[in-house]
Amino acid sequence: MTIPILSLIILCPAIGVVLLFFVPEGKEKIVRGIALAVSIIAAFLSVWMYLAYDRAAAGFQFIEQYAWMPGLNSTYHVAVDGVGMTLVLLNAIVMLTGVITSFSIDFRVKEYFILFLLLVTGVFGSFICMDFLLFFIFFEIAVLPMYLLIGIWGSTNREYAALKLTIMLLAGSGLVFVGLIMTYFASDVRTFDFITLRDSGGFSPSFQNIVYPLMFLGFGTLAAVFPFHNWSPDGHVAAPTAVSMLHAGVLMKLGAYGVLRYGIELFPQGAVHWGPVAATMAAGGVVYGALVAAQQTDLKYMIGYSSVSHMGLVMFGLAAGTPLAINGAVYQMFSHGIMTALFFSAVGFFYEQTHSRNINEYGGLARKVPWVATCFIIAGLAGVGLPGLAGFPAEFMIFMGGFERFPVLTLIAVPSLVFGAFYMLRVLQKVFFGPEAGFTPKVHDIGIFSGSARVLLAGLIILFGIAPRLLSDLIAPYAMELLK
Amino acid sequence: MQIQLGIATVLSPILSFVLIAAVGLRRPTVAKIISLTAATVSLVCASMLLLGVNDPAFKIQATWSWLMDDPSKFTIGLLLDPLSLVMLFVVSIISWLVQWYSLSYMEEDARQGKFFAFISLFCFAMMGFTIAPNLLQSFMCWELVGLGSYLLIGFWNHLPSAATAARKAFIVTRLGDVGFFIALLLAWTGLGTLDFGAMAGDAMSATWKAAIGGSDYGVWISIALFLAVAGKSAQFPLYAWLPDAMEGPTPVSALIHAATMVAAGVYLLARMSFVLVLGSEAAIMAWHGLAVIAMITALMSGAVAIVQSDIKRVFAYSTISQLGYMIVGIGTGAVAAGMMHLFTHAFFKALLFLTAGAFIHAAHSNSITDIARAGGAKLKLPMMALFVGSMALMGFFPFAGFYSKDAILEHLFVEGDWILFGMALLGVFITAYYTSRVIYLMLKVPAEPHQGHGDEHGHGHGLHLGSWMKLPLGFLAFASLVAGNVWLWKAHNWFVIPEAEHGNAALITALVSTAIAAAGAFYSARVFYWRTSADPMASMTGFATLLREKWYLDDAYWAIVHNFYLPITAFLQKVETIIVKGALDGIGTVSMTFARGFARAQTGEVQHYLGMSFVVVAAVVLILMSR
Repeated sequence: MTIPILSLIILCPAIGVVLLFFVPEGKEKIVRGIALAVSIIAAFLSVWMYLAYDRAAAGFQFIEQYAWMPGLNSTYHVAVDGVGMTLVLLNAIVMLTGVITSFSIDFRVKEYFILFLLLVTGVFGSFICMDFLLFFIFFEIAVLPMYLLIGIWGSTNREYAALKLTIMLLAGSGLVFVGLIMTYFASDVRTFDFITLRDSGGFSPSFQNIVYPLMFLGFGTLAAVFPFHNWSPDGHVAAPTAVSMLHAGVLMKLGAYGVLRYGIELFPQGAVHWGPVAATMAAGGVVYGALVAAQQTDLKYMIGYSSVSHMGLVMFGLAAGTPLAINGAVYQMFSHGIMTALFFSAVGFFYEQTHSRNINEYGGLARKVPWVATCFIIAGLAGVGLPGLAGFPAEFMIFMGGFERFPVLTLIAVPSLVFGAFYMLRVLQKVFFGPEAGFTPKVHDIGIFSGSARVLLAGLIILFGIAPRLLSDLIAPYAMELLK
Repeated sequence: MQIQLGIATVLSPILSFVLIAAVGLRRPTVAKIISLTAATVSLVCASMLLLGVNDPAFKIQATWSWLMDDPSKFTIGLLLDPLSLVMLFVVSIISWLVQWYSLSYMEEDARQGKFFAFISLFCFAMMGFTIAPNLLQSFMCWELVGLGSYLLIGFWNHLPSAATAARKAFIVTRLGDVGFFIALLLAWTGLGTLDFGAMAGDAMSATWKAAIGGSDYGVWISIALFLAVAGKSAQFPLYAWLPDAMEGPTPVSALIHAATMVAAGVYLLARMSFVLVLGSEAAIMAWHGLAVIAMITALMSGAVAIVQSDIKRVFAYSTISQLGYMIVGIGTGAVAAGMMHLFTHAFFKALLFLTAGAFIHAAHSNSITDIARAGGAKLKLPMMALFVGSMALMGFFPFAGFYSKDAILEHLFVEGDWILFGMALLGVFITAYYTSRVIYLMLKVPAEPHQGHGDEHGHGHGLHLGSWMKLPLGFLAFASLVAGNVWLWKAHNWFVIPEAEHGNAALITALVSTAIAAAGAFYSARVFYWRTSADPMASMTGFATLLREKWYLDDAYWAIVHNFYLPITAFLQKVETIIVKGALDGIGTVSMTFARGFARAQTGEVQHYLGMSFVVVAAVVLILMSR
């Protein structure tokens, strides 16, 4: 008997949610313990699945399929291919490090972890579900807890940010839902099963041209595609640390994943038709995000706009659609995920102690907290695309692959290498170097347990920078297959 | 066997970095032992490799797939040929000497462990760049070399000036790296390969000449690479970061900003010089254009060196100038001559920097006059080293610089490139003038031992030379004397050097350039030593200001950032808050207004609801009847 590993992975956070309901109020240690335990198990299962994954094969693996809503031809159908595998791994990593980072939450702890795990369940489900309807349900489960997490545990301007984020994301889901209904009725097969739809949907080119923009904009909003990105930096800033990690680390990836899976894969001709428009928006976001980031004085806003730029790269790779660019885009989803998780984790560490994120109120932190500073600097250098760190293989593949299809747009986007260095090094210099200033003397060094999350993320950034084949080998067969 | 030696050479420094990071950061002695051991392994392996080369056609290559499961694409590996092995030897020997020297130089620093870790990281990147078999690995290591430079310039990062200089170096060179990246894009799409050997194949000639964007691939790839070279090898208009990089510890300046990293651009040109054979007329013209820019850079920066009072900055501008010479050589087709100058320059410029470091370490000041006042001229070994290094830099027989500079001059002479030849001779004059000025100032300014900074540090009785500094200074002085001869003796094993078919050209250029250098040194002596001539800068006040302001290049950078780049970002920030955010908030406000309007209808009074129903029903009936 094969082990239903994908179902087990979704069940980890889901069981966590259920268990937490039964923990009495006030038993915070038990709450944290359960959250940590389920995330460690999920991480373990994900790594196990990663090791068991057959790299040479292009199609889906670890397939499970059970009847769910036979009347609608909707089934519980879970499976992963190279993309799904990569993103499940990412989600497990961000979940684990996010839970560790969340140990410092001390207000309504139980509710916090319930929502946190619910969100993670939704993300896991979205990445592995091969049924459009069920996917949509998981997608909504992933999006909605954000409102409460930001609204209750957030900081700066949280009600505004939570509302804006939720409205934007629901507007995006609205477009997706319309697309979903249209897809169901336009297909020859009347099913929600993704693989059947993809292989024998028989969508006419004109239909594809109509429905692809719905998918691109609907999911793209979640991926903060320019100019529909403004909710994202506000959301980052207002969210508590670990929620920012999830938000930038995996939730935005969910948007890019949606575009890839339910846009490009289902409607390839539509994607080609709208490619130039999508690529222009994406390249615009790459440059725009990097330029606007230079004006930020709040560390989280800086990271928020750098995310707009980096997610622009993902969308650019997807829009270019060559195997290399797709490979790079998926790689970038992963790299950016661990990179921003580390960023927010480190910023959260400073903020908890000083209640300031203002770049100008720090100085000389590197000598005060060498470990966290080193981790932040590694994330920063990865963001700049330094070789040897995880950002470089992704950017390299995206630009190499993108140049074949959109040479001019690529040349417009490439200078973001300098723009990125400009704002990132300015921040590193101001916050970490120079004499100790402002709030810096208040900051104390990190504990081993809490520090382990940051060190793990930094280590992964280096690992996936040195040995990109750990991921690209998984993604490459998928990207080749996609082009056929 | 060679492959294993090559791998050992390159990997021992990164192993050293990892080990120091793991166990040596708080244990200086351990860090030093690890670092020096690794450097020794590299040096021994690199020397064995170079000694094994007896044929210019020697070439061993090994590659492994890096990015994807396809051994023909995006690989990393080693390319061992005479060009890379000469460079590898230079890098490993200079880095060994510099690390040895640093044992003294950094002895009072609490963060020595980190220093040696960073040096090791840099050496790994530099060696990885040197042996790169393709443009991808070149680019990756090129960037990592930049990281090493950033970390080491900013090593004393509690000083705002050091942190700023490090950032400036990184960003300015990154600007050039965009060019490198574009070259990668063009090469991959146009030539279908990034491998040096494949790109240099004779069959590629047509591909290099294939048209794109109003010219051909050869031209555009060359120009894109030139941008990278201008950044890393500090050429106009991107050179202004290098003098500021002197904020780093002096051994770093010697290793990175004199001998190795800044020569990486020159090396890259040598590596890519097959374009001169395969490329179109236009591509060759582009390389010649680069040579002209390099020559102009050499003169501009040499002139600035004249007015510097900081000993390291004199040598920094001199480095820019000498790099210009190397690029002139390669850009006009004399690859072996350019590499020869790189080879000799590495020794004598490292010598000059380490000498400057010995003075600075003793006198606790960078200013030439302060060092002299503190009694710098009494330090025998550094003064001897300064003399030898300066003679080599000025290009006097029989010192190393004489041979290498003449190789370039001779090439220009033979080619009949009179404009460049004339400019190069002017450069010789300037070089002799500013180099000898340092010596004269050291000798002429009287020592005032009681006012030296030495008192504060408890050794008021004269200056003190670090004990680990003697060997590197002595060895490099020796090398500055003989490196040119060693090259002439060995180079036929490494490069195909054109036979002396040009008769007296060698003798003529040697005599002319020596005479001009002597004139420069003599004039400088009249101004700074005998004080019989007025300082020419006193009468040319406008020009002198131009030089003191470094041709206003820093101001130009400042203006671009502050009057152009930052205003654009500020404008976009306004767009973001007013338009992008404003539109969203506007939608929110409008819908809230509507919602309030509708909410007002929910009065809870039955009469209103009935009235509303009546109106709606009436409207529907009317519409239906009108059809």
